[in-house]
Amino acid sequence: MSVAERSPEDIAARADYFQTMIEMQLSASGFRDTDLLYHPEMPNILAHVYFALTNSYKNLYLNPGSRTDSAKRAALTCVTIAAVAPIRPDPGKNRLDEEAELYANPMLAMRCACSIVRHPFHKRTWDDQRRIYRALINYRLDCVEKVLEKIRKSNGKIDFEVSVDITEEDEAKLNLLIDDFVVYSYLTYPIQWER
Amino acid sequence: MPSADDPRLLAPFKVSGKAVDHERNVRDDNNAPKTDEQIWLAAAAEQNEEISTLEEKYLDELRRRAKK
Repeated sequence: MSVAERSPEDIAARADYFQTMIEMQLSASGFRDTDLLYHPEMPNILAHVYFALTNSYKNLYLNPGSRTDSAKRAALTCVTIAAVAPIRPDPGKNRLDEEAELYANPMLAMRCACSIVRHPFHKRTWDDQRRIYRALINYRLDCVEKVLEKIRKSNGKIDFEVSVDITEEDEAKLNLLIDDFVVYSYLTYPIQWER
Repeated sequence: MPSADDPRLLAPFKVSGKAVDHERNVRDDNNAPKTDEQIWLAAAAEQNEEISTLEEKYLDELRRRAKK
């Protein structure tokens, strides 16, 4: 398993982060009584896709060695979760809660991304939230789809170097979302003293 | 118990050396989050309860509007 320019430790740390966030989402009051679950390889897949997307985006916009800023990291995290959609209904059971099934991944995506820029998205109006959630429900990137297809063939195991080539269409979608997160990063809640 | 008009309450304020030493031994929290992931998880955990409640309300509102 690998992504160019990333150590196995970096990838494992990010996979742990994604796993903790998925568990947090599935334990939330709106989701804990549902049959939603995730494949054990999903956190690792998310970590690989995130770093591959970041590398590809950096090749387009940044000088070698530069780090992406918080708004970009938030947007790329959001996109990764939306495109991979790690939380799924139990395939062996009847679908009982379609609303939760539909919204689990977009809500996870916004939870993760907004905690990176400390934006209180959850306090915005219902209609505002719905527009973003609906956009994320159907968010797909061609470059990520190609990698996911390859990963499916290996039953979730990643035994190759993951890389993506962001297409011009993907780039347009990404840039619009990154710009949203640049604005979100100006609208934040303060760091709490308990931390 | 001194009364509130005790003139000693107007004397220059001095704290005991012991209290000063004790306070000065305090250091920044070594357990504060350091990596990106630790910082993000701490921020997410801090907002978790409120976000969970509002997500549930969002889904309830979705169901309510869908029934109309």
